[in-house]
Amino acid sequence: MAKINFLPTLQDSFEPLLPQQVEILRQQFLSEGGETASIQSRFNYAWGLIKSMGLDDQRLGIKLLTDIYKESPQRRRECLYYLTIGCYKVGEYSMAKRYVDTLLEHEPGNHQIKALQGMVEDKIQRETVRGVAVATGVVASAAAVAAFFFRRRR
Amino acid sequence: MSNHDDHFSHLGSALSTTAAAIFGAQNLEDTILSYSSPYKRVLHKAMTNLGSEGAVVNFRGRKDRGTGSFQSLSSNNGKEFFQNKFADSKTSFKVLSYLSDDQLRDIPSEFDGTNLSLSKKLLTQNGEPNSKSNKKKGQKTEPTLFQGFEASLPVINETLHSENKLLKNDEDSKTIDQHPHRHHHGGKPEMDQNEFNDQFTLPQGVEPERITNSYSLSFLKSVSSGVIDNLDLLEIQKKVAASEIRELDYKLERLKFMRELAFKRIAKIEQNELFLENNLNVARDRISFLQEYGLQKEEDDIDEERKENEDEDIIDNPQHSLDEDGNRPQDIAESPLNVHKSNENHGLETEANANSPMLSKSVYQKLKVKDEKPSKKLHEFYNDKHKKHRKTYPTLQQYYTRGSQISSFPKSHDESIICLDFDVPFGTLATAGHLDHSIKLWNLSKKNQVGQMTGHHASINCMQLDNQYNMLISGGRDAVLKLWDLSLAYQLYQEDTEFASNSEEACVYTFDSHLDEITALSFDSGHLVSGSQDRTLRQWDLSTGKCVQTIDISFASRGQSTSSLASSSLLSPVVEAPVVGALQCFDAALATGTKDGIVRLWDMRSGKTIRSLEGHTDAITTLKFDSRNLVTGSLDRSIRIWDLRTGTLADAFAYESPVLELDFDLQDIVAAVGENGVKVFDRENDKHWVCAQSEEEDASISQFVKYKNGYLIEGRSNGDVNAWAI
Repeated sequence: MAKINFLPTLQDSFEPLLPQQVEILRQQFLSEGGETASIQSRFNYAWGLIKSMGLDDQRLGIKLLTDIYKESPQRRRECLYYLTIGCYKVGEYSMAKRYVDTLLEHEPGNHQIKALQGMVEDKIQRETVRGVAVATGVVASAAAVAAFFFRRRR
Repeated sequence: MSNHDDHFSHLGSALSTTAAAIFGAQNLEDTILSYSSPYKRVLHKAMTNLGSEGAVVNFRGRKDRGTGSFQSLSSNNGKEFFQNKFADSKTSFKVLSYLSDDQLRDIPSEFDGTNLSLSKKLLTQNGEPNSKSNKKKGQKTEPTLFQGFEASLPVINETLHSENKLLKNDEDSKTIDQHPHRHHHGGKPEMDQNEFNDQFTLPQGVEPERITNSYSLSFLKSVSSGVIDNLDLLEIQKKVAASEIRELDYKLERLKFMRELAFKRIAKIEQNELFLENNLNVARDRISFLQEYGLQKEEDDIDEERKENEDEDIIDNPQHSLDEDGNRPQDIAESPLNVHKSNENHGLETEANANSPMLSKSVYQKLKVKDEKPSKKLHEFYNDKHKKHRKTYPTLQQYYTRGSQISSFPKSHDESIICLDFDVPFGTLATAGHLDHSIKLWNLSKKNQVGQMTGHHASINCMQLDNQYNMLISGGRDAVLKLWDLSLAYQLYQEDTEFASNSEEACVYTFDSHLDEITALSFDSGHLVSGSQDRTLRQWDLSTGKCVQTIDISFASRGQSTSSLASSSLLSPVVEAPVVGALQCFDAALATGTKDGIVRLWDMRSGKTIRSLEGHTDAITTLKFDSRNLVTGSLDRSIRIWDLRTGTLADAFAYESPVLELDFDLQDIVAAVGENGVKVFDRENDKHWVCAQSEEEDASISQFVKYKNGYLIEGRSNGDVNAWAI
């Protein structure tokens, strides 16, 4: 049996649970009253959802994590860590960056967080390049079309 | 960050969400939620809408569990959660899982053990926590949520495993859903585990015997490392459960606090209700009083008053609507409410001065006119016109914990309390004590004395309050019954305490025909029945004051105790049971409990006994009936519950001492048995318990009880009166 790490790695979030496992977590969550369930069972369900494949499930997981963050000040640090991973996974890199930056402010010199921040920033850079590429493409084609019409009018 | 907010909020109205996303706007969610954004309102709507819908979906999902497979349900759930008509799921997700800058910044510093451990742990390299340090620190620190999650996974797997086993055993159930076991436990892995794993196992299914028998080092090492891992896991699980308990404790604390707030709210509302009801009554009294006496004689005074009050009257006379009978509004200007308002300018002191002369003038005039003809006075008083109806009923007593003290009136009387009565919980209480010829009135919510009525020439044996006419009828050892006007008693007490304490003004009528002390009385719908030591029952007409029927019950006076004649002199204290221990009438029906231990039911139209209930072996001291049951208490120490329809005994139980007084409703029977505490019998749960028990050695004994809707008042031998929640 593997040792239990203190915090999950990014890799952990990409290893989905069995649907039956998620369902048990969900039942536990619901049987304790949904919104009023204990923080641990809410987290269990949320993390189970984040690990799953469906985008909407992952989002629901993030939403639940956000609720935990709002409710329990003692859990905020670790919640930011989970939120970063969750947002990274659903592709909300700007959100992920916001969380990881805040976390690093409170935990300067923490290697694990720094590594995570590096990954997030890396991803954002790539996304921005892609976005810019798309935008330039759009602008270029628009210009081409405009030029075409322009020329035709002449 | 906040600067960025402002910046983007200006841009926000122009930018579309998609464009913002493409260009990687960092504060997209800020833009959405910023105040100038046109999205804001719609999204806010969507958010609130979603919250409720999402919750519904969650629970619906649980109910529909039987219809779909696990996977489709859980994925449906996530999708539905972010679906709404205002925004796409991505936007609503962002809104719902948005953390404001304030929330984000507000992270507690590392004074807490949890955070300390987290930051230290985070410093260790990812994925390779030193097993030794982990174990050492693990004992001190709290596990992270992720550890809790990981620790619960094996439990879940075990549950699934055992479920599958069950499925294989039970071929009839086709899906996990339909399995009765699952329905029963609602997916509580922990509970399931307790049920399935009564015996514990070593990791990898190793038999404990193999350890003692093994000579292989590698095997033993692997076993011990496995066991250590397992122990770590259990330690984490334990801590997760412990933190859950802490969380629940905190929640309970918060719930308790919230309950207290709601409780206080009810208390305040009920006090407000009482205040309004009282003022409504005052206003109504005033209206009928003014109508009755016209007040033509005081026209001049009123004219003066009117000039003074003209302005205020026009603006603020809330009683205008009550004034249905064509009275000029100014006529009721002196009612306390209006006096209060019109004198606001002059301050509170002048208000009291201006108020009382006016009121007492009219009151005394009324009394002067009526003093000559007491029967007419009674007729005027006991009149449908004076009938009052409460609009509200206090319920606060239900929210106290059972058996807790609501209020107390220490030393209400110098000697022991003989009898008392109250109208409604937190309403008015009337008490009478031994060797005290006066009746005291108390406000149960303000916990102060509001009246004192003197007029009896001996101590008072019995009384009954009436809410509708705001009157009290008392029967004393001086062989007379007196009917008291309580509103008048309040006024007299307010105006002049010394004068009121020796005045008989509040007494509307005296019923005087009995030859010996009154021991029991009861009235209902227009007539009064009294029982006396002269061995008669008398029925009185309340509107004329005439005795309309006398029933001789000499035959019932033969008790087990001897010499009843000698004991019934006016001045000697009652040593033994009275001839008529208790009676209650309802319409034409009358129930009496007498010294011979027999309960008789009478038809007052014929004056004949229609049924005798025999069973008690000593004098009956108290009885009460409702539509179903008759409950009697006796000196033979027993309480008997009779079925009124069949006339048979429904239930009976006994205490260690003679029953002095009892009262009951559908829920409870309370009884004073001459002991320290009050006995309570919970009829629904068939449970006996004791209320009002004091810890002191030389504690007084509880003498008299009255009980209404969970509100118990008991009078004690040392003169104390206490109210309790039952």
